[in-house]
Amino acid sequence: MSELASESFKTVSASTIELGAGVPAIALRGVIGLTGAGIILVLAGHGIGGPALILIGLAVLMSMAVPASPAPALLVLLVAVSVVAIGGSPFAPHVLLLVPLVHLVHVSCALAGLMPTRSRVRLSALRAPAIRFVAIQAGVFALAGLMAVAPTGTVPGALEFVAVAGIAAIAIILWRLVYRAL
Amino acid sequence: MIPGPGLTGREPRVVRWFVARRNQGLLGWRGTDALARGAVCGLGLVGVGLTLHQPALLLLGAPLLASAALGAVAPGVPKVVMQPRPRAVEEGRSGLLTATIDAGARAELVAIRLPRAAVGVGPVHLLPASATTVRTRVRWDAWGDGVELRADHLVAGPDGLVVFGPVVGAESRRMVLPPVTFVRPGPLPPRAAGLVGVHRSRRPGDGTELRDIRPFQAGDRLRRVDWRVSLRAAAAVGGDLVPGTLHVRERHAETDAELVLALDTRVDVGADVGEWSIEAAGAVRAGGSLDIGVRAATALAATYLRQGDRVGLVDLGSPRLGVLPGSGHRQLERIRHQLVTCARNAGWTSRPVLRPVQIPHGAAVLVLSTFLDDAVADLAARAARRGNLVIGIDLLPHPLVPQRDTPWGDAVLGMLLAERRVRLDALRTHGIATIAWGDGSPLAGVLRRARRRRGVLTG
Repeated sequence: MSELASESFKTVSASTIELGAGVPAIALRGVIGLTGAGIILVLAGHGIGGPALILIGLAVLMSMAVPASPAPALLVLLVAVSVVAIGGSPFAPHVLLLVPLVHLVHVSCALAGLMPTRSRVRLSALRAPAIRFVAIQAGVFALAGLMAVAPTGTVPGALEFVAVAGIAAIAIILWRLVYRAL
Repeated sequence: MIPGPGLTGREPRVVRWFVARRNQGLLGWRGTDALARGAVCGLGLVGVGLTLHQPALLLLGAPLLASAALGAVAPGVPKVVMQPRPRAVEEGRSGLLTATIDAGARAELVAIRLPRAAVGVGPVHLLPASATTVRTRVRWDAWGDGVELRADHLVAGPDGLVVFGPVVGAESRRMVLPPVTFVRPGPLPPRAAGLVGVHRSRRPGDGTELRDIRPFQAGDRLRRVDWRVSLRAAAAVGGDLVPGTLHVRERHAETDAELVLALDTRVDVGADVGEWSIEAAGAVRAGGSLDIGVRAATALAATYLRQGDRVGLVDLGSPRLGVLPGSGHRQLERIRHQLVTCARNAGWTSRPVLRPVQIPHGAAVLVLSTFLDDAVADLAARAARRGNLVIGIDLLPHPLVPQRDTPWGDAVLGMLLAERRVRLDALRTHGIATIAWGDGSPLAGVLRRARRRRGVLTG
């Protein structure tokens, strides 16, 4: 398929594209499904029971069917609740595996929500989102590494206050960014 | 203040503000569900993770928060322009469609609907916003008229978190003209008022074919004197060229002819009888009677216009769509365009119409029809009774396939063909020959026979 796509989508120059067959956009929904299946497998392997898995499975199916809906958000929240329920170390392999999977569901749903099911995708269109995904994941794993080596114990109240104030500041900055963008 | 879409201007200020906000969201850049998800879930998970000392939640929420922060950008006002294209094209050819996209500096993705290979508006293609020119090759394999391009588009920012659109593109129609082929032409009845052409007239004139040799009269040109006959006549009276011995060669005038192509557009049937009641997928049924009829009419018009005749078109199903007889290349283009229009409006009426004013005196009329009903046979017989040479061109695909999902399929087909045979026999008794459409050889033969029968040669 990728060979067909690369043949059919000829790039005449850097800014000129000759349109070809491309990859069916439904493949993006396939990525959502596969990622959802990966999440379910990880959670099932760490003791999450049947009803919760059924709920998560339904959220995955809904995310595949209607990516531009609250279903992916529900999936993210269910995974977060499951991670809290599993407990254990925050740097356990299953948590570190779920971090990119949840992010991938988020990005795949964002892209799939733009396109009708019968549309076509030029693979080079996904290059920038893929680079950004890798960069963000690299940042998050660096943060995880910092958190892992940071000293544990009782956090001073002042530091707690600074952290919460930081979250509030991030919220305000994000709000301003969105407001300025739209 | 000018009220926006959905506003009359009399609403309370707060309603106007809400509607304006909503319209701004719909018309300009707006955040998607993914932006809300990234911001709310990311911020929520990070906040709860910090507050409840759950680093796992912080790690889960951080990518979503980062994605939302990076994606909330406004790339500018995008613009998509399609380069102008010809309105009409030839069947079997291909061409390039070019779209110029100005997505804005920080846009990342463009989803645009463009045709590819097949006719139709095509699917939506997701492309990188760095592409400023998108080209697609379209091949026109079937004649007809339809919407070819509607460049619906949507421009998205990073990760598709903010979008502009979808914007419905302007519809652009394209007329694919039926192909021009040539058939073997047959002789047509010459036009009484014709002055030039390839058909021998009854009148004397300046043609090439000998009509008569007669004594010289005042006004005859000297170059027409037949010296051999004149000298022989002079020898018979003593050897001197006395008055009455000079003879001239008289030739036939050569004139053009008028041909009226009467196309029956009321029905469009294919070879499979079971599909006759099902509407065709495209403008016409490929290989069906209307397709054959339009191709035949184009070939006949091209052939006779090439030899200088006057050709007109009558749509039996929609009389207002005809083309008056005319000559020249522009007339051929006019007829081809009109044939596509006739096919688009096919099935307009149940009864065929061919008024006497639509047929010039002395014109040959070719009735292109499936002859599946009596009305068209009556109409052809009436035209023949008015003195026109009428020939039927049978457009029914051959052989017909009976309907398979009913035990009555064979019987129905047998009845249908028997009725049609009777109808064609009745036409024959009115002096109307009917031929199946082919390469034109049978038509040339029929025209030659008709000319002999009508005594044009002896005229």
